[in-house]
Amino acid sequence: MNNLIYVLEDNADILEIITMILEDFRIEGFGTVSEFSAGFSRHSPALCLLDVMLPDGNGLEVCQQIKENPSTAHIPVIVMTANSSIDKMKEKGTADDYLAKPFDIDDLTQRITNLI
Amino acid sequence: MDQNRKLSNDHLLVILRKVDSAIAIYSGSEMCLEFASQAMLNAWSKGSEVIGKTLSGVWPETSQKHFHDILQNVWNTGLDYTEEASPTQQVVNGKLQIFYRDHVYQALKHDDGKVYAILHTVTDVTDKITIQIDAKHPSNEELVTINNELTLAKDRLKEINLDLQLSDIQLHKVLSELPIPVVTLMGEDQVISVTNQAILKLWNRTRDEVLGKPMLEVFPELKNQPYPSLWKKVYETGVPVSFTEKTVVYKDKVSGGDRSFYIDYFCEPLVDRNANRIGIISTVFDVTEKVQSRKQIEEAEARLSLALDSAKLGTWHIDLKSNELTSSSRLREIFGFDMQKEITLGQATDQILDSHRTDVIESIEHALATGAFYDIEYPIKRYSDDVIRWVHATGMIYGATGDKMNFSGIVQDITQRKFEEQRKDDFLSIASHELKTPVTALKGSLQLLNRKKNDLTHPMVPRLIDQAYVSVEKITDLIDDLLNTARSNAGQLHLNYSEFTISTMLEQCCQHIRMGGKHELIFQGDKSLKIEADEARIDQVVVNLVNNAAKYAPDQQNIYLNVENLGDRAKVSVRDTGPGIQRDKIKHLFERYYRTDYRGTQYSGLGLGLYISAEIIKRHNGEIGVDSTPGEGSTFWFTLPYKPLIRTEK
Repeated sequence: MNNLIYVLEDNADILEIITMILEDFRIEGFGTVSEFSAGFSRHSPALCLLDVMLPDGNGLEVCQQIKENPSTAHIPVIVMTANSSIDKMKEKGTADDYLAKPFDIDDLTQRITNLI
Repeated sequence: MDQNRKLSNDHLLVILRKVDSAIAIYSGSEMCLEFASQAMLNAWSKGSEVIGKTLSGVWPETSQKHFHDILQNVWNTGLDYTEEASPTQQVVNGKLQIFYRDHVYQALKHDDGKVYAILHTVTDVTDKITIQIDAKHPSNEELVTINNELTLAKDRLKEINLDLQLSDIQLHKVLSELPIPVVTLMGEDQVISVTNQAILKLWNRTRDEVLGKPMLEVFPELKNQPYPSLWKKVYETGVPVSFTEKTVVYKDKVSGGDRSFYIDYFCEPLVDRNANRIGIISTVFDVTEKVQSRKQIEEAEARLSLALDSAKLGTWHIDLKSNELTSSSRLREIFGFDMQKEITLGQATDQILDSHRTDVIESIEHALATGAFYDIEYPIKRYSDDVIRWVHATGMIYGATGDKMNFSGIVQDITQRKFEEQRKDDFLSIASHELKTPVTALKGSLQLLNRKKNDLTHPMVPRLIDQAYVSVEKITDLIDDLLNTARSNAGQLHLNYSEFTISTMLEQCCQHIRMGGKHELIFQGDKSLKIEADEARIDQVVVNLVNNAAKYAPDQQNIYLNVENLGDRAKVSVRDTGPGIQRDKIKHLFERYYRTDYRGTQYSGLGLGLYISAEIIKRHNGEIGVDSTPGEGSTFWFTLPYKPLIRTEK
C-alpha cells in the first residue's frame, strides 16, 4: 500500500512535528511550492497535506492544480492553515478536507486515515 | 361878507335838508347830530327826531361801532376819511337789500385848525356797483346761497381747527410714545427741540436735561463722531441722509464709560411754512441687538466654516421639495468635481460604487421615513480620475414636516482611515497567524510527549522538549513585540540611561545570528565611541536591523556593522548586500503593521520590528532611516546624541 504523504509546509518546526506525528507513514516534506511541484512530478503520493501561506505561492492554488489535472485529481488533499478565514476556504476550495492550526495530533491522524 | 348874507343859519340848514344828497353834520367829541338831510335820514331809516341827539342816542346798538370809530378818528386827528362802496344791508318793502355807498367824512375846522364839526356826505353808488358785480358775479339769491355756504364753511373751519388742536396733542402723544427714537435739532447750533421717550431712553437723559440745549453741549463726545457735520450738511443742503448699522458712542452720564450702539439713521431737513430750513429731524433705529445677533451668527458660521475646513469636511443640504442639492466646495472636491461648480444630487449619487449605491439610497430613505440619524460609509469613484475613495456621510432631518423639511449633513473623506483599518485588520490576521505557527509546533510537541510519557527514553523525547522550548521562545518574542508596540502607543516606553561603548555592545549582541553560522557580522568604524543611552533598547534595535538583514538577504553571508562619530552624535549602520528595497516602499518601512510582502511567510514576523526600533530611537531624540539601492543592498542606520537631550526618564 502506498503510504507516501507529501507535506508542503515552510515552517521547519511544524514540518518536523508532523513527521514525528505521522511516524507510521512515509513523509516527504517541502518548504516551497517549486520544490513540491518538482517532487510531485517524480512520485505520486497517497495524500497531500498543504499549508496555505507559502514563500512562493499559495497552498489553495496548488490544491486546485492537483484537482484540475485528471491524472492527479484522485489524490486526496488536506489543506491546513492558521488563517482565521478557514470557513471561506471550505466554501470555495477544492480540497478534500481542511484542518485549522494549531491542530490536535489525533485529529490530524484520523483525517489522513479517513482519506487514504 | 357876513353883511351880504340874507339867510340865517337855520335857513341854510333847511335848505341843506332838502338837498337830495345824504348829508349829516356832527359836533363835539360826543358826536351830537347837528344836522341830517332827508336823504340821509332815509338812508338811515330814521326820522328827524334823531337830530340833536348824540351818536349813541341815535344808534344805541353796538353794531355801529365801526362808524363811531371813524368819526372819533376824524375828530381827534382832523384828517378827512373816505370809504368807497361800503356795503350795507337794508330792508326795503320787506325785502333785504344791499346798498353800496361812498362815505366822505370831512373835518370842519376853525382858523386855528381845531375841529368844530364833521361833515358826513354819502353818495349812493349801488347801481354802479351792482352793474359791476352783475358783470362778473352771480345774482343776489346766489350771493345769499354763497353766503350761507360760507357760514357753513366757517363752522366747518372751526371744527377743523379744533380737530387740528386735538391732532396736535395726539401727534405729540404719538411721537412721545413712538418706540423709535426721534429728535429735532434747530438751527445752526443744533438745539434739541423735540424729543421722545425712546431717544431719551437711548441717551439715558431726562427731557429737562436736554431740551433747549445744543446737541454738542449735552453730548460733547459726539464732536469726534461724524454726526454733527452730517446734521450741518442736511441743514445747509436740504438733502436727506440715511445709512444703516453705523456705530454711535455716548458717554454714560454717571460712569463716563462708553455706551456703544449700532443705529439705522434717517436725517431730514425741517422746514417752516415758507419752506425755509429751520433744523433737522433725525430718526434713529437702535439695531444693536440685531447687529450683535447677526455678528454672533456670522462669527459662529465663520468658526464652523473654519472647523469644517480644518476637519476637511464637506457639507451638503437637500431641499426635500425640489430634491435640489446644495454642496460645499470641499464636498465637490472629495467627489472629484470642479470645486467651483454646483452639482446635482444625481451627479453625486452616480459616483457611488454600484456595490453600495442601493445601501446608501435605502439609508437615506430610512432617515427620511423615520427621522433617524443618517450615518453610512461607502466607496465612491472620483469623477475626475476614477480613483476609489471611501467617504463617511452623516445627516439629519430637521425643521417642520412637509414642504419645509430639510436634510443636511457632512461628508468626510475616510480613505486614509479605511486604509489604516485595513492595515490593522491585516496586522491582526498576521499576528494571529504568526502566533498560531509556534503554538501549532508547541501543541504538537506536547501531545506527542504525552503519547510518549510512558517511554521517556524514546529518541523522539529530547527533540520534542527542544521543539517545545523553541516554540515558547518564539511565542514570547512575538508577545514582547506586541507589548512594546502597545507601550510605545501609550507613551510608556521607559528608558534606562547608562554610558556604554557602542562597539562592545555590538560585539555582544546578535549571538543567535553568529551561532546560526549562516551570516557573519563584520564590525567597522570607531571602536572607542561611547554613548549615554538605554543599552538594552539600543541592543534591541540592532538585533531588529540585523534580523531584517538576515531575513531579507538570506543568501548574503556578510552583514556589516558600522559606527561613526558625527560630532555631536553617533551613527550606527547595519548594511546588507541583499536585493534592496523599492523606493515606494521605503517611506512605509517604519510604519506600524507594515510589511513589504503579505503574501508569504517567507518574511515571517509581525512587521513591528522597524516600527518599534523607530520608536526607541525617537525616544532617544535620534533619527532612523534607510538608504537602499535595488539590486545592491540596504543600509539601515540610526543616530543618537551622546548625551540625552531631554531626560524623559528619571
